[in-house]
Amino acid sequence: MKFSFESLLNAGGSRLTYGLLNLRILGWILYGFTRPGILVPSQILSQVIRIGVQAIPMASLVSLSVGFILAMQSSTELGKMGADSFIPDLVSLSLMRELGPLLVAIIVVGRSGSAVAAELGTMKVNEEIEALRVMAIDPIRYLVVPRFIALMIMLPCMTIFGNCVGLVGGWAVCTLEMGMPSSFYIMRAMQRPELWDLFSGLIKTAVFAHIIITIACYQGLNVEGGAEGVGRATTSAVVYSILWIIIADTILTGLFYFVL
Amino acid sequence: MSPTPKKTNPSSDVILEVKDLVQSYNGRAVLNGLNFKVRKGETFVIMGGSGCGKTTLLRILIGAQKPTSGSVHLFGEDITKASSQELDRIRLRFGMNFQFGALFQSMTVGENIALPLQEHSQVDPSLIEMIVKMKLELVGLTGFENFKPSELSGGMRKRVGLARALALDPELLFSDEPTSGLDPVMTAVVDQLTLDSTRKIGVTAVVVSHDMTSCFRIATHMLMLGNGPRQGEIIAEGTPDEIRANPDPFLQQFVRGEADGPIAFRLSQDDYLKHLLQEG
Amino acid sequence: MEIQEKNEDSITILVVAGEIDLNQSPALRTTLREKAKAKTPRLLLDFAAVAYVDSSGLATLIEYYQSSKAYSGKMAICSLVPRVRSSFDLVRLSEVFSIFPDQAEARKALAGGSA
Repeated sequence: MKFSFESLLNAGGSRLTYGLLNLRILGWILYGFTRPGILVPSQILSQVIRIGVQAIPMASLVSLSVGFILAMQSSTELGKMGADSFIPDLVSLSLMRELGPLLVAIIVVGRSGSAVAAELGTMKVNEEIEALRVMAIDPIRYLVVPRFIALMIMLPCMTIFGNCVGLVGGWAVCTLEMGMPSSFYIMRAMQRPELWDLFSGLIKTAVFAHIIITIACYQGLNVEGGAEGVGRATTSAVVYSILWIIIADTILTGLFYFVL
Repeated sequence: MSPTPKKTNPSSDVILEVKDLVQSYNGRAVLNGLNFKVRKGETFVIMGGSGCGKTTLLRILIGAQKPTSGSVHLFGEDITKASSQELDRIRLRFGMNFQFGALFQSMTVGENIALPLQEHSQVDPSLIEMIVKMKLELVGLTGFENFKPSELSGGMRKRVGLARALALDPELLFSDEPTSGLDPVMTAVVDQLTLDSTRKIGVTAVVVSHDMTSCFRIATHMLMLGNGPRQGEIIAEGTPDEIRANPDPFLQQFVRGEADGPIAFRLSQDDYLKHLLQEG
Repeated sequence: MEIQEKNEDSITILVVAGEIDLNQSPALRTTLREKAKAKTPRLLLDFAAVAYVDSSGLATLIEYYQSSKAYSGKMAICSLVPRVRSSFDLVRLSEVFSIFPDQAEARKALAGGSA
């Protein structure tokens, strides 16, 4: 272990740029696999609950609404062409490929990304980050890595769950409003998408999770100037996360569309 | 954590050595070429008025900030040149008591004190629990394990911060204004703890303070930093008796806490009137 | 840290030497837990050559004290150097443990049952 991941852990000295933050997170995770005690399951679990599980109700509500909306909007246009039977396809494809990942990510930015930025920012202002350093506890390892792993696990889970809830929304409109048989809806919605449709959505989700948590932690750890700075950092975390999520979404969609 | 083997060689008794330390912000020198040594077992008090760079100095001493130039040797190693790993190793040998406690708000008092032990030792959780209780007793807060820092008063938080700094039984303790904001009784408790740890256990303490009563009570060695026209210089250094006897008017004004003297607390009267009447 | 064990007049004597700090206290703990498991009736810890005891060492002693009470075993500590004595005093443990200035007195007390 002479080349160690340790060299990554402290890359760049005491400065913390966005790139260095990513490098150090990577370093700690790789290092954590070689040594016990670095990745603490209980810490990760508590973050899974705080930034993942607790955001599920909101994410579900949004997904359900999107399911309703997709079904209702498409029924007007597709109905005109007598293509009612394609509504379940449309609902399930758009949820899996695009809207599920995007909307759940945006909810998580607002709910958890902002909370992480505010929490770390407050810790910075209260000298808690400084105190960790002085105790020879790396804040990236102790604070950032558990949150990072938690969100990387939870966002895909929440997206899949959100997709299911969205499908229920579509189902409600199709059967109750348009009188489509449930069996028909379920068959169409499940058969039309291929595995890749789900995977492409999940790839996006992983990228979004990375964007959300690294931007939130970066903004939080770099707070300057008291309570006002915490507010600014929280706002920046939300704005930049959403901005980069949409840009990344465009790039990934383009990649899937043109290349694959 | 084990205290260094006792050697008779006097130079090995130097725990902290500062050489030609300069810290400047935007060309203005806050600390201007400081030189001093702290020996094992001393209670070294750094005094100085507001804005004299005491906190900056302390941040440099604990390796939280790199100075503009000069060196700081802690336990014989230059922390201004140390890598992060080396610095972390050195950091396990000292404790830092922050001015406002710097407690982790999301954890209870007990968890705050237990954290360094959990992170840096193989001590069993049941023993850590006992250690936490002992440390809380030291600072007069027995029974407060399950309180959150937000439920405590400022003075209590400071004392929890001190308990946390002592969690690993460090050889060297840095304290930033340990008694400011404490009532006289608690000031005496904290001072007594410093005295007991240094005189009886052999801990070395570096204390930044401007509480003169407490300074003279605990110090074995004192250092006064200047501000204003003598910004960033050492005005006086010595034992408490030497400091008391030092005729420097600047020092005497500070020690006695007088409003009039060489430490200018306001612009001169003429300047003030000019400023007020906006002439010139 | 080194621990030497001897048995004299049905008193188990542990002569400890060195510094009991965070790195060393687990070894002391292992030994003391064995003694607790064996329900050692009379245990004397000779700290004459112990230069330093930190909180983890003190906690280890408390742990043994508690487990020995469960089977009403006796425990005494003797020959503390001033610095170590201060560590006990500071957290008021001298009120809990039976501390004696030297081995002879400690043994007398342990044998006589006043410890």
